[in-house]
Amino acid sequence: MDLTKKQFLSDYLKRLKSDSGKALEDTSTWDRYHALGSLTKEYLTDDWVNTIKEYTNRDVKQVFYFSMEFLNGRFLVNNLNALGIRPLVEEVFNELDFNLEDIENIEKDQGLGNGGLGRLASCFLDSMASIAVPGHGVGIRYNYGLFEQKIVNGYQVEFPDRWLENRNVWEVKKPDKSIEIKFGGYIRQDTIKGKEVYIHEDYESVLAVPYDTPVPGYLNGIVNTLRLYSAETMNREFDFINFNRGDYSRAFEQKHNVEAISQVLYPNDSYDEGKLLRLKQEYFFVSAGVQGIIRAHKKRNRSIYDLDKFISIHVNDTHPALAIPELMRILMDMEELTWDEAWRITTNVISYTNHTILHEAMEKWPVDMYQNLMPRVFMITNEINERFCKDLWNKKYEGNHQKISDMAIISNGMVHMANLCVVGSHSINGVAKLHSEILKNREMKDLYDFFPQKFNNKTNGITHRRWLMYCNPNLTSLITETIGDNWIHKPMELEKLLGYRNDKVFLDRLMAVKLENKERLARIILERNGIVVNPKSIFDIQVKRLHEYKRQTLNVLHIMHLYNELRENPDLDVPPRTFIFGAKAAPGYYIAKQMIKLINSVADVVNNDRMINDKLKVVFMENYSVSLAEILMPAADVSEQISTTTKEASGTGNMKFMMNGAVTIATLDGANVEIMEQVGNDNIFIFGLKEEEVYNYYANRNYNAYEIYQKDHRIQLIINQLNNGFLRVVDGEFSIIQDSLIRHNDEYFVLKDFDSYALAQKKLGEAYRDKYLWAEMSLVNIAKSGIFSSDNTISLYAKDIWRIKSVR
Amino acid sequence: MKKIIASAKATAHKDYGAVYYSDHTTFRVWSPASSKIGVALYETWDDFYRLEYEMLPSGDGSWFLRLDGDFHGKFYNYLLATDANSSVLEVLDPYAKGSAPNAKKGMIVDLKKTDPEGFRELDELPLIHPLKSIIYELHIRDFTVAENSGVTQRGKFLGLTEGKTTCNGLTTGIDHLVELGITHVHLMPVSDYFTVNELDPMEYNWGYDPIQFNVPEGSYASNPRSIERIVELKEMIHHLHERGLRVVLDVVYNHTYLTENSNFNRLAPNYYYRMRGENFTDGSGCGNEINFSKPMAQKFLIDSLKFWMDEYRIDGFRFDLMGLYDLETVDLICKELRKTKPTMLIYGEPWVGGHSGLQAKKMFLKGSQRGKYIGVFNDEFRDAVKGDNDGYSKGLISGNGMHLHSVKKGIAGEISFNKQMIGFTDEPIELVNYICAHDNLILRDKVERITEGANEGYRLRMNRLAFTLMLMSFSTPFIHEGTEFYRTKHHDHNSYKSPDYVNQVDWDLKHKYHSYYLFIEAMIDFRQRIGLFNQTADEIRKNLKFQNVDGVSYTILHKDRTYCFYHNFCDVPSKRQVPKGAEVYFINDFYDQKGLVYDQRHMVDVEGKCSLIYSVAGNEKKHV
Repeated sequence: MDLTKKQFLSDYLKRLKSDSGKALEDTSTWDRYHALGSLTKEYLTDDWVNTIKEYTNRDVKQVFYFSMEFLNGRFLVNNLNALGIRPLVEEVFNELDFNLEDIENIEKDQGLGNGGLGRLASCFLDSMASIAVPGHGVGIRYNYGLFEQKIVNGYQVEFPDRWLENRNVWEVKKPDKSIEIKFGGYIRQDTIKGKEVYIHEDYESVLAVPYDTPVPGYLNGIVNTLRLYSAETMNREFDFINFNRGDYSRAFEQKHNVEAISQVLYPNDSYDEGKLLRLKQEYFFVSAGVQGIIRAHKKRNRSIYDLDKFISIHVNDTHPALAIPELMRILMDMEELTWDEAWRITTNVISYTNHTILHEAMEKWPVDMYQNLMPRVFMITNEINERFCKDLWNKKYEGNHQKISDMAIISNGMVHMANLCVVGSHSINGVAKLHSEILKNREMKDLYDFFPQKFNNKTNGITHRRWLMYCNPNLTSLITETIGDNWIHKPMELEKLLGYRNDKVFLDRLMAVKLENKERLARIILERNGIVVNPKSIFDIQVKRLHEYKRQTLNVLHIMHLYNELRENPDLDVPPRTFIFGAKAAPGYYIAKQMIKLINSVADVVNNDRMINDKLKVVFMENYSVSLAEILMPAADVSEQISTTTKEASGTGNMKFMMNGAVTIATLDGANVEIMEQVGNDNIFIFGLKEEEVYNYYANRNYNAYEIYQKDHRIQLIINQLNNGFLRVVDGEFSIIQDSLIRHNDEYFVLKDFDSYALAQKKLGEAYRDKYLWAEMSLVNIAKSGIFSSDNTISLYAKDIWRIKSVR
Repeated sequence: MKKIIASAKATAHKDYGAVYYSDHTTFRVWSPASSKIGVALYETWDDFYRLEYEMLPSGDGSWFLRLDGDFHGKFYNYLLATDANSSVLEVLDPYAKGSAPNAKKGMIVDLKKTDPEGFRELDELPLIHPLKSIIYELHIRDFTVAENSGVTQRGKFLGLTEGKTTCNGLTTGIDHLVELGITHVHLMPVSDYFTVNELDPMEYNWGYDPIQFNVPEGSYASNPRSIERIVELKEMIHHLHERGLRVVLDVVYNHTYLTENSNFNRLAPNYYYRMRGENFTDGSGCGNEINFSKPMAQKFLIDSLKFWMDEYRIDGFRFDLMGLYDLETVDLICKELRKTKPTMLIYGEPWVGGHSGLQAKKMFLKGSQRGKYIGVFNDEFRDAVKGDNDGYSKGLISGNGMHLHSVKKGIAGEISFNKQMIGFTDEPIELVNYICAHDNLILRDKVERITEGANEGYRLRMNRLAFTLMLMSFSTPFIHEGTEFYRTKHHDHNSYKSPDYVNQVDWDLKHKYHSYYLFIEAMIDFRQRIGLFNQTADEIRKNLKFQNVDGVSYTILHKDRTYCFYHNFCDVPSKRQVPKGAEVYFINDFYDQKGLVYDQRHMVDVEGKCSLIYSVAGNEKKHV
């Protein structure tokens, strides 16, 4: 935007005074942040209003990205950069003697998501705005985001994430756009004027109040919207009748029950708990979102029959799958369309992304719960199922009851949401090539055989703005100085860096930038963890949710192995390594929480052993979040992507590390496969079982972890050390981990992959010795990361799935 | 790895380690069993990246490399190929003269650049007889780390270069040492030890955990990353010399902190240490003991001692656990060091710290020093004076007359004085009498332990009596830092890694116990001024007479005067006669080191725990 320093200074000082009510010198960092945030939002407003106007006037199709989670992190840096005013602000602040970075760092993360799925949604919003695709987010405004993690005595302890404690400057409440959501009750079927009608009675109403957050594109004047709904009671305050009777707690009961819907994010990643409140949350925001879309559509005097010309609804995993029966309900019950008309429009409007094949993450709901909560939606779901099963019988599987039952939406008393999504949408995509192939050939093979045209792949991506430009300004300047700034709009042009792979001057600078970033992280680790780490050691980082399939176990067992080697031989000529972890475990996921304790216990032993010459350090950084990731990614030498092959759908952390010049050590899982395709075998360390091998073990049931334990003395030693006092914890502390590896036959093949992982790590250490070899590997990773910009991903979604064009 | 032949001979090379020349540097390391050795050369102390050079075998078990160029200030290690799963070890050069922090890398140093101005030019201090020497043991950090030391560079080598420092108007630091009148500053280990993180200014250790024998400890330097540790130690030594103080190093060659994994053991597996079969014997109580009978171990020891003597101008060595040195090696030490420095002061602990692999008859123990001009610590005298180290048993100063004989033996220099008093020395120069050192309870704390309920004045007299017995004896007295002004370590009997508040010398005490201090200072002055303890065994047998009275009573004939001593170790006063014309130096709390002349006979009361010291003209038989 056009803004002079003088204008900004005057705007800002005025805002700071009026917001804080204090003299300039008395304002706190938070006051300064708040004033800058609210002013920035104000600067966005013209573009925001104009963008909405433009989309309407130009009659463009818009996509609504429905997601249970948006893991946005902080907004200020992003929005200042999108407006192109950050350098100006910094200059003015320097003159005021304000530290812009401190001010930016005081912003609380908006952490309304668990992990990859939520962060993907946020990256997609950023890319849609930046490549001018008319697209908006729809979700829930949780009062509490993902819990705040603290480590106490090595254990994870959860605290509520009070992100709304201080005002959220970025949102605008739009009460006039509130929507009524109906739960429970029953459906009375009647015939009025010869037409069958369905009347919903005795239901409970909840008001969905939208809060809109601007989503600006990068320097392009586009501002899309993230609309998050908050649950309120219809009668606003509380029950006056009970209040007047003196029954205070009952007077607030309804208010509390209703508000519970948007109170807290379920802290589970890749795991479906099947709780009633969760289903309520899903229907709550889906119904609000769909109703809101139809309301706006009609307000513009557009025909309901043209809905699919103007609207796409994308369901991010199955959580918003109720959009299918809900849209059907509105089209039929409100708009009085026939089933077939409504079905055509619905399937045209809806598209679906599958995020996982883990069975425990596959959403399914007991029929009773589903029916009681949403009686009409159930009727429609049931009808969809009936028609689909009939179709199967008629077209392909006549008489094959088993097959039809396997593919049905409702079977064995459960509603299977993934199947609903496949049937009720026109597009199903996986999130990485391997994942999409597994969907087609294994996990959803039957559905794929029936609807082959619906299946496609869209490999995940990350916004290179947040994950390179903003979090790694030194690297960004170096790249721009070297190859110009075209890459910012066309990230694929990062490939031009390949021309410098033998340029020692450039490689020296590249490594100097990395070292500087590592030094910053080392300072933060010292500050937060009190651990001195050597910035010249290999920073080997694994940050992601704590889950058995992600195999933090493999990493920590290997660390124990390195430690055992060093105890034997402290002078071993190996590069010093610093292993850094960040991970939240779902509060009810016991073994995952014990893994955190294990990492911290190993850290205690290793970090306090002076005999090993500082060649090994282990750091667990608490409360892994978007803002912490922004510090970690630029400082990584090594990216740990070591999930059991076939289990990680895509991964996006892997891309963030790569883009910041980390070299990946990985199994051929998820998007790691495509990273390897990009950088080539020489610039990545691949190990472990391949897809076929994993499936063969499953098919033949011939994996024997105990045998490995017996034969490999390194493993035997480590497994025994888990429970023999070596880690200075109470007896049995890690029995659950020991048992899962030995007694329960190591479901995730940790022991099987140990040897090849250790070997890959050894090679990695040797490569790190050679500065220019390593620098070149790092460079190739950066150069080849452009394809993983979510700008690419989104342009493919827009073209292939939504059929939406960029407006610029 | 190949086994090293036990008889491997010392190779004559004089160029072990990295030897600097302005246009090249040579490296030599002894590692007969290795199949391949390289030098890893680093630009900076914390560099990870490095250049690697292969060394060439010289055929005698040593490996050599010459690199052309100026490598001053660069860092290096040896890369050792092992047969075991083809891994490589990166080991420190035992001969390294400089180091990265925490002994991560050796440093190539142009030692000429580390000499302070005038360091080489300063004349050697004049010869001083051991019996006129007074040793003062101090720990670099303890001595100046307290805020009230008045020193700017507290706890560092440079702290001991600062003159004109005071606390409550009284001198501290180096000025205090000069004022006190001691002759030798005995530095607790200043060569690089393992147990302190040199990059953490808060950590503390005595330093008996050697990791690099030829490198000064980095935590005492203003910056452990470069040559400051060398330069500043030299600065300190230079300042001490300029003030007339000689410097003794406390050296711990008897063991290394690391055992299997030490650089010595990596370079020559199982060669440098005493072994019983496959096991390391533990005569030091620290996990291993160096086998000085092995030619290359002995060569390293001698090379290292000579390096300190020549390069740092050291005036003496105190050997930790000298019992672990075989007699031949001790002889060689004396011969080699006194070849260049005939006055080199050598003394040590004549005992071992554990079950040694060295045969007892080969150990350097009490008695082994006879005729060798080596001092040994007199633990018998120590215990007889004050009782056991950390327990509740009482010594002579508590009135325990059982120890009278042992104390007298100590006063007589442990020589064979007569048929009843047969000590373990030939000459008193072989004896270091002391009452406490860094180990165990400090004197004040020990006295407090055995005098429950007593008042401080009483305790001070007991402390003073202990000092008096030590200073008025035929031996080289040894004072532990701060005891001259009643230092306490708060009853910490093993403060080797205790924090500063336990270990630091608290200079306020010098003011608080100033009269106590002045008395001891006067006694030192008296001892040095008269020189009456500077006698040979034959002279002592002629000139020293003990009287059989209550208390410790003796006379010493010296230059036509008879010096009379009476130490009342009981609680009740004792009546003594001072003859007419006597010069009285000390009586009760009174002191006059020049002597106050009594113009007539006096009967005096010598209070409990007090002394009477005077002289009369002529060879008087019975005076006291």
